[in-house]
Amino acid sequence: MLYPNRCSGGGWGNPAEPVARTITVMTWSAADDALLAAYGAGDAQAAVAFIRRHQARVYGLALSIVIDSSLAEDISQEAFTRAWRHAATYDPRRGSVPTWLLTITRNLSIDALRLRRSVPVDPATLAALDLTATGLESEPGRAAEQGEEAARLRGAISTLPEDQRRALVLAGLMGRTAKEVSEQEGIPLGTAKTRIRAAMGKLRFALADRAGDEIDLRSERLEDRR
Amino acid sequence: MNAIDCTEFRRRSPELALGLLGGGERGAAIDHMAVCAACRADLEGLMRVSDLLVHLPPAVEPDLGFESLVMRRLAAEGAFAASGASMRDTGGRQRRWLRPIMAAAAAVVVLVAGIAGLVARRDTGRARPAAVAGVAPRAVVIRADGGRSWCQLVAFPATGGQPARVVVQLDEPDGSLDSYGVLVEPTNRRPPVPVGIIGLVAGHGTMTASIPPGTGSVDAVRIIDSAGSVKYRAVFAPV
Repeated sequence: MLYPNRCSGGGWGNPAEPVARTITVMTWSAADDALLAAYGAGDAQAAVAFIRRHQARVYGLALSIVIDSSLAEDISQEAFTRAWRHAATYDPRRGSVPTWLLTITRNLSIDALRLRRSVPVDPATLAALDLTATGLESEPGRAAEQGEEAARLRGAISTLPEDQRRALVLAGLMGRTAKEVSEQEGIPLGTAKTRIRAAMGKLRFALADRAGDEIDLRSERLEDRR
Repeated sequence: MNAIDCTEFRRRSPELALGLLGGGERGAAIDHMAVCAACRADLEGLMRVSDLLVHLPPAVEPDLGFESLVMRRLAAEGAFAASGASMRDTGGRQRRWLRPIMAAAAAVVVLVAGIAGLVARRDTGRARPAAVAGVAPRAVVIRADGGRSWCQLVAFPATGGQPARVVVQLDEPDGSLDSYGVLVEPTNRRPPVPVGIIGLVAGHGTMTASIPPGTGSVDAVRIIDSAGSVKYRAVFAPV
């Protein structure tokens, strides 16, 4: 557990001491970043804390994609190893640590699936993959921020037609290209692309809540009819 | 490579956001995005969806012992040995210019601490954390220069065989200086103790340093430049 903090410019209680830059405080919400920095620097305690904090979501994601507990565990281990190796390349301006780590996990899981390319995803597996219940229990600030968006996304996913939801899971989580989705689902390539595009468009709309997005959805529906 | 227009870009953007576009199609989309702010914004919205998708599967605890397996794997990769080397390096390769600065800084701080002890008595009765012994790690993140510069610090208490230590990560876009001194501030206004140098490469640097035994509780960490100016000062919250 890391604690909130206070920071200040200047030094040692002497207001006359020169400070070369304006320092602003960023509190608790970046603790994941700091922990990752310590993890990347090879600190054993930080490593334990980092792994404990993220292991359930990393393993849960890997398991959801590869549906094999032993393979999911291997992937999760590799994800943490890569996170340590590439910690210095993490850029907090481009996303949260959990998103970064989970993206590594997803990519590794997809790579593992590609080695078993001939194995189609069982439709029952797709149906059982519950994207409507999860927890974002990372550090509270970021979790609240992401949790709200994730909740909206979950709500939007639950309203997707079944065929679009399946296309979204296959493409968005399992890394299947539109061509592979079309083969898996036994549908024309254009239809597979349309389903992916329609699902993504609706989810983006749910997050952005922008009227302009409706235009995209309309054009997608038109294309669907072609 | 064929140039594409906005309509074609938006047909491809969902797959681009999901990382499913290959070769030529991806290249053409990226080329278009470079010159079209509207399509760039469109992709950003889809990227947000893509980023959030990985958060949706339920969390599942792996089998007991998972953490140990990862730690063993990291150890085999040299993760913790590298940290030890880094600690040795920061002590052994301490730059010559920093030695007098650190000594001077320590001397100035002794003086300032004495004055502050007389002037700022309000701090003397404050309950201070036992920062170095027996508490959880504590972290501080400082953003400077409008968010372009970052200083992240984590202080770890002494445990079993390991001394207390501090991990510092600095990110500066300009990277005009390549090294900073790191000092920890013990409680009770005792002089700061130099613990190492952090070197920046392309504006980025990470270091781990042991806090010398006998330092006692640490309240704050300061980062100083070659002129002895305090660039960052992070005060850990009381535990």
